[in-house]
Amino acid sequence: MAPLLEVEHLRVRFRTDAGALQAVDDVSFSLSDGKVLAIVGESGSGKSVTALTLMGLTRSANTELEGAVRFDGADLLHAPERDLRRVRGGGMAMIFQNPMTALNPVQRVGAQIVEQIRAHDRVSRSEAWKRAVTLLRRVGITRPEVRARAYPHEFSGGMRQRVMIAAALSCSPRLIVADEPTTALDVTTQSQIMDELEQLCRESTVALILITHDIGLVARMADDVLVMYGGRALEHAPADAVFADPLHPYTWALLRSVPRLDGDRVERLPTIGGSPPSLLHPPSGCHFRPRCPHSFGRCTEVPPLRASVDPEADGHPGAEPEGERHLDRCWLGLDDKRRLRRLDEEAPALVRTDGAA
Amino acid sequence: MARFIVRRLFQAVVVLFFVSIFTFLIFQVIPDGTPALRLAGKSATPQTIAAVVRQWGFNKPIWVQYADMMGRIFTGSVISYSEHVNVLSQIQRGLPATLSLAIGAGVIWFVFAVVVGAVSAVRAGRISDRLLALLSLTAISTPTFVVGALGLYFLAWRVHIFPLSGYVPLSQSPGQWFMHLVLPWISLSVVYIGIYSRVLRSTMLDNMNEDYVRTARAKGLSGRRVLIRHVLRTSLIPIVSMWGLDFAGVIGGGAILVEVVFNLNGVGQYAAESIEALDVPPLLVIVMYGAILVVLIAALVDILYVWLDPRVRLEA
Repeated sequence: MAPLLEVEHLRVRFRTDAGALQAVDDVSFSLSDGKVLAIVGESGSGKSVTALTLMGLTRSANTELEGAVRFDGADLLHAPERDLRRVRGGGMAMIFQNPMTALNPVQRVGAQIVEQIRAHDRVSRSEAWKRAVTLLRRVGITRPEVRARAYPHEFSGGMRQRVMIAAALSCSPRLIVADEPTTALDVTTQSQIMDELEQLCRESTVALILITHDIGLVARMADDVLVMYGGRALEHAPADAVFADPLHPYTWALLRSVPRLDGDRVERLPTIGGSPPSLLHPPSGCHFRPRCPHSFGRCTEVPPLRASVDPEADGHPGAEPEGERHLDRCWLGLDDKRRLRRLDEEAPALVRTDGAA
Repeated sequence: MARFIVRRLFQAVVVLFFVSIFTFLIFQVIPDGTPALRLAGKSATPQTIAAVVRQWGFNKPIWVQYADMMGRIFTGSVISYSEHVNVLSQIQRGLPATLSLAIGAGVIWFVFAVVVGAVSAVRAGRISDRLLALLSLTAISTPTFVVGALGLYFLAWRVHIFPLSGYVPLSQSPGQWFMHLVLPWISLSVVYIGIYSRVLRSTMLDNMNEDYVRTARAKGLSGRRVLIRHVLRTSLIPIVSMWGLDFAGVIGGGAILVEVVFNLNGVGQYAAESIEALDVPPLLVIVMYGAILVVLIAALVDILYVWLDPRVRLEA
């Protein structure tokens, strides 16, 4: 069976006054019904642009799109706007980062859900309103028939994100793209909302693309992980494999910058020195190279090709590419990586802090 | 709501007090402002002048004169110097023309500004947008009387589409009423269309980048619906409040030039004639009534605001 979503060699380039900006550079992934893909990476790594492009929301006269986005077998990347509109909010719904600004401030929340329902289904206004109230109840809003008449500013941040989730679910989507859905919320609300979102997705076998900085969330929810940096996918593998055997130095750094409850208490949490590359003037070769403590000559010269590594069948080319896929874009050899990773774990200072791009 | 009204009333009183003081004082200090000389006629004897001074109370202390005048304004019994007629009845005679002019122009400039502003925002950066920008700037920088004079010359004098001047009451002939007002409406609207469309364009361009607009697109709404229900809807908020104040300003004397150019015999023209004659009482009355209207409409706009933008609280 073909996966629900297939993204192949997606490239997004924005023409700006300052020059061309390659926001997404050859990203591929696929997602089956009911699965959760986490896209992780720092700000500016191209996660959100990837997500918006799936829905055709980055289209403009100054955007160049390449590759393919197939949703339920149909190409979306070059589909006419009318077909895209059917998918947006219908088969594929999106939840945005900041629920404070993502809802229209001068429209009642119920009306905002009704608007989405009526954009996709031929139902009467009152019918749609009933559905909106039911949805609000489903996402845990008390007295939904009253609250549906309220305006966004009368809700707390968590409640607003619940409204966004209700709207996302309103047309029975098969895929929800959640772009840092809890980043703007306070910590206690974060886990509540994610629990609820996870449960709602499982109930209806909705696939989820979760864009996040929160590695803990990834560990808890994701089936697959895609690590993005500077517009490129540096590592892409099942979540278990990424946590058990991360292959890219950037992934190590990301994982090591997460506080652990069971580990030793260290004075300071390790950080990744430097900042993400400018996509207007990206570094030559590997984008992570200027900040990578393990880079060598070859990393400067050519960007690493997308290598398919099967850790179990290492040294046996062509063995089982389906089952244990683990893709990573790095010139380091597999044995070197594992040795260096152990060294890194023992000596946090190895992470360079002077890595200017 | 009650607190809001009380606050607004208090505000209105303060505004009116200062407006009245300033207007009253201006006519005390202008050269040749001594009204008794003019009231007494060309070859008046000192005795006649003295009699006029006593009769009109010009010998009383200035604050007493002020208080007398205010009392007469609020009882509607102000008598003009030049014609010795009741000012209120003169204003009532001019009011239909002024209201017809202001309301019609207000509707025209709002509608056209929204259309022009929305089109320029949607076509931002393209030729049509640049063309509209050029037209708007031309409109803003062309004085009202020039627009009026050009309209009269080309559309009333050279080609007899519209009458040259005058006002016909709506009750007398709706068709004639309309034809007599078309050029005045346009002359008055042009500047406002220019300003409002520029403001609307930039507000809309700002709002197009708002998160909720992206959400609206992600919901699968059509481009037109996103534009009208989400971008335009929120962008109209500042325009509406501008409109309220300008509309009040036009009724309260802002249409003087247009009324004079087209000889509409409205309140504005009455004010213009009073200025020429240095006839203080009508001016004071018109300024005061205008100020009351502005304060009143400003309060109405604030109430309208709550309906347009539910985040706004009247008490705040």
